[in-house]
Amino acid sequence: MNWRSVVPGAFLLVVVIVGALCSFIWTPFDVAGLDIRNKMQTSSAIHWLGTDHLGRDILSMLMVGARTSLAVALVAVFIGMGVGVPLGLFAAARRNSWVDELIMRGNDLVFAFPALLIAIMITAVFGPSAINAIIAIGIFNIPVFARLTRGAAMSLWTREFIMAARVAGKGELRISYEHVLPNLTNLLIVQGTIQFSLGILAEAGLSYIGLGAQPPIPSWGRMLAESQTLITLAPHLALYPGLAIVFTVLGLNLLGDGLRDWLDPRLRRER
Amino acid sequence: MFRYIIRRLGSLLATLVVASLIVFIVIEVVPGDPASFMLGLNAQPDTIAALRAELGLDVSKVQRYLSWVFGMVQGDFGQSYTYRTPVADMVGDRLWISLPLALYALALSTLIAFPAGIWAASRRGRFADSAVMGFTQLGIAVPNFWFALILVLVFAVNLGWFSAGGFVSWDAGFFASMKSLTLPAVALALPQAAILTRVMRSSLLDVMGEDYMRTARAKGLSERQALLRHALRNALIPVLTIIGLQFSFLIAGAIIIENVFFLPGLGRLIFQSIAQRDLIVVESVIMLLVFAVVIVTFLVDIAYAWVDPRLRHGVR
Amino acid sequence: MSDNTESLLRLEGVNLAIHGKPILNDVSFELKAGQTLGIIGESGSGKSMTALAIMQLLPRGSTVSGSIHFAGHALHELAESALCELRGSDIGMVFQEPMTALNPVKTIGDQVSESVRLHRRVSRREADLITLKTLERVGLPNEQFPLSRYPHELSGGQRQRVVIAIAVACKPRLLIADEPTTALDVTTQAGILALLKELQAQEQLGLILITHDLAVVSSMADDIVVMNKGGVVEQGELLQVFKAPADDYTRMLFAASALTQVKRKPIIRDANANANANANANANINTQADIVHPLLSVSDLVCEYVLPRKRLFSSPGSFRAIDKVSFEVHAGESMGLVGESGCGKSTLTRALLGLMSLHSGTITLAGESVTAMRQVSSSARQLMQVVFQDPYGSFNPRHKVGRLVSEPLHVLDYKPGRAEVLRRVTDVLSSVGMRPDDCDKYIHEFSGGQRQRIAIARSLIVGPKIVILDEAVSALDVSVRAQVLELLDTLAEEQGLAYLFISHDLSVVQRVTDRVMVMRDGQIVERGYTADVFADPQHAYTQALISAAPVLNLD
Repeated sequence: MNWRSVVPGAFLLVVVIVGALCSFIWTPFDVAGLDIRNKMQTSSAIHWLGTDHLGRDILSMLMVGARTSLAVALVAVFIGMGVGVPLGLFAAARRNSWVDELIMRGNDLVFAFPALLIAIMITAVFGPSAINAIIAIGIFNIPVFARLTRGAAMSLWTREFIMAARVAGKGELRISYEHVLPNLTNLLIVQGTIQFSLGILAEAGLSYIGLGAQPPIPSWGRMLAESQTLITLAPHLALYPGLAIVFTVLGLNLLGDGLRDWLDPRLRRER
Repeated sequence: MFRYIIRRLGSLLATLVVASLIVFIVIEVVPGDPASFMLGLNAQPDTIAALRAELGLDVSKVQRYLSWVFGMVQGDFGQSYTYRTPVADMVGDRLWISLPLALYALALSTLIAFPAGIWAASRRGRFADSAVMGFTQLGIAVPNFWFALILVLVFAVNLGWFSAGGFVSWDAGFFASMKSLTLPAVALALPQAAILTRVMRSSLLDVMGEDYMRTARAKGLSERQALLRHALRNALIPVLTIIGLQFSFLIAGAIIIENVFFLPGLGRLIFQSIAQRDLIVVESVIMLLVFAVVIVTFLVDIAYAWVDPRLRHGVR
Repeated sequence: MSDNTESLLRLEGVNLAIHGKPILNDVSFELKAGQTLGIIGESGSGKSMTALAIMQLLPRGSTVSGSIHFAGHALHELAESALCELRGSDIGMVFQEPMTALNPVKTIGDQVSESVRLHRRVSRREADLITLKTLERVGLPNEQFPLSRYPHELSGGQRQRVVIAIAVACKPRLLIADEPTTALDVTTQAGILALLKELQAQEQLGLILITHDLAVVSSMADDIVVMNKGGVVEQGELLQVFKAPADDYTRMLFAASALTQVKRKPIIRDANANANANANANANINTQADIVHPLLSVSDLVCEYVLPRKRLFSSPGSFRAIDKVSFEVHAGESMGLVGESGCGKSTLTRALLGLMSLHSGTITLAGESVTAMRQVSSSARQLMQVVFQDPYGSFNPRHKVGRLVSEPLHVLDYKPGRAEVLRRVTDVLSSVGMRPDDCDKYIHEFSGGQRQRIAIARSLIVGPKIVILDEAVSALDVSVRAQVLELLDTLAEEQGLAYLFISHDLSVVQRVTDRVMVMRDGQIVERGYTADVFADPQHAYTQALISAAPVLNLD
């Protein structure tokens, strides 16, 4: 394993996850507690990262915001995997049939809609919410996993061990589950971390333009949006949520890179 | 080659038709009656009836869909409910901000990524490679709108080189307008450049392991010559895919970035329209963006055929 | 530098390690100008690395010691820029895989003339002229193969000719050919070998021919070097080494390579299955069912592939991969099927195994009809199993050997208990010469030969009557191949197995089969007793095949 990338990656991620989990039990201050007298303070012994324009403790808001970010991105990855992987497996098992064609054309279609457009469409009709953000990012993830799975599964289907399983009389679905899927897990784990980190970025973007989690639920993206008008007065308001996003995404990417090096037998054999 | 283009054109058209159906269903059918949705909860029945008549909602949904689609084909996007002006005019002005912004960013990202990726690949395992890879790792992790805020803080507020926002109309001259698009384009381009650099590098490294690279070296080409003459063009195939995908990210990113810089582009228009429940505008802008994405995908497909003769001859 | 003026290339005490792992150990040999040196060895012997060491194109992380002298240059001391001048102009190289050795996005003209323009100060037009001449010389005349052709428009043999053209365009003094014909069909191989020989004679080239095939080397080389495990075990004049090998390894290699037909007792009792008299064989089977029970009977089999549409609205065409093939295999018989790539033999395998649908015709296994995958009954699957070519690709890398070997038990009508599965697995593993406790290991822990034994074990676990061996020994080294062939003999004798032995390799087919069929373009062009067909081939294609196959002949 590439420790130089896994260790810092895992460290950053653990900090974020611990912060998020901790916020369920304890935060330094109540995130709903307004304290106008102490607004826009910089770092101090009481407020480690200062306070925002309404006097709320920034560290507490970041901790609760981490919860939203992680939850939205993670559920979106599961939606993408849960729908995309079976579709991809099925398309590969029945390659060149009309089912395959339909699935792939459907994929092309979703590719034509960036996640943001999906979110905008959902929001235009149902109004903004964290659930809509999850659905939009999740739908965006589906073709990513479907294509990846189909491509990798197609090349597995030409392998002789799959032919051997067919000679043993096993059906397409059983072979997909027994022989194809286990050989895709590495690939899916790596792509999962990539989509997870993209999901964090997308969630931040959506809540920044007001299409994500709604007040009073704190989210990193909205903290940035609120800081924008005050950027000359209190730049630290924009700094910390941004850094929180960068560290989380960086941690996930480093971890993903390390995992790929470790899991990819092609790379491992060379060591 | 001709057959290939025709086939791609066919799938482009099919995608557009299905996309328009989806947009129409989500925006006009799912909310129930668009007129009462657009007027809100407290609307009077006769106002709703008047709007229904005005929007032509009396006819069947199929008819409405068809007239919407055929209207768009002829450049008629309907009337904005809020502003009572043709949507085509509103969109037209703003398109000339959003589209140049996305293209500017795409050009920047490509101009940064190609040399950086080639450089990193040719110095694989050395310091330059690690340095470039470190920067890209950071570049991918930075959200573009936050990066935009930092750019504003540094280059507009502190250094005063650029204005913090707003757009200088094209009438004031090409360079003035481009200058007002520069910070937004940089903010959009850098994260994409980071991704593209990584793809360029890994694609080149993959190609460098191919048998024909050994043939090229056995011919007497130096490592660098072999890279430039034989690896580059082959490595372009995955890179083109990413460039195509990036355009759709850039379109989406532009919508967000326009908010940071107060640019009166399509992004601002779409949010305004959502707030004002002006569904006709929302619908049209979304279709327009989808159209842009699909066209770029088509151009990328054509570029594939230019790069890879096997596609031209229909082998793959 | 060199006291021997005749010496073109001299390696002295070359050691090579890659990332600390020793690859070559004290390799020394010499090539005289205008002569051919054959380097033979099995996979992992270091023969290809030796070639790359001469070219100084070793992979990253290589550490080399020792000296390599070429025509007055000390290659091991030359700067990279000086090496670039030598490569392609004084030393040319030809590789094993013609399908991937050419850049797919450049025309063949560009790729050959690039070499010319790199080393000669000539204009583009002059370079194109030299390219034209060179391509003509390697057998690609301009009328059929204009410079604007792309590699994907050429066959494997033609691509290899382009690679050779690149190597010889600047008239080098040394040509290194690393397994130049291994990936090619026999008839194509013969053409390429003849071309190399001709070029060598005409240009007074020094030629290094690296191969695993003793037959190839015996027809080409003046001197040979035998390599094993990174070292030279024996070298000398070809005839001397062949007639009186001094080293144990060399002797073993020669013994394993010289396949002679094993005398098998004739099994065929059916008069209709007589050599070359088969046209009405199938018609008589039903009436003579009490006399003859063919285990596997195929009649008028046709398989087609759908081709992509030529024009947008035209109906899709089809390609007939199997064209009215009929044959039968009797219990305990070893039947061979020979043909070159693209002749339809892999399609036939797939059709027999029920992995693709038939266009028309019937396949009958022990009296039961087998038509398409879904209809194949489990009893039919029990009777017929398969061993594939690739010892690496034919196992799921994520399962242990026990699970891999027991997979065909799925075809049984009942679900055997754990104890029975274990008993069957250990039985079948020991019958192929593996240890019972191997079933707890993963497949990557085994060598190619061991994997092929495990593949055979997997095919035998349900007790089949016939095993299809689809190029089952083609990927193996000769020494391992000999052992696996012996195992197949033993198994056939012990269990009364019938084989359908599909291969491109005439010598192997001659060694293991009782009867043989020759396939070309989806049709069987000749069939008969193996000994008869090889001794007196009737069809022109069979004659061409047999004469093209290199023979280990030293007289």
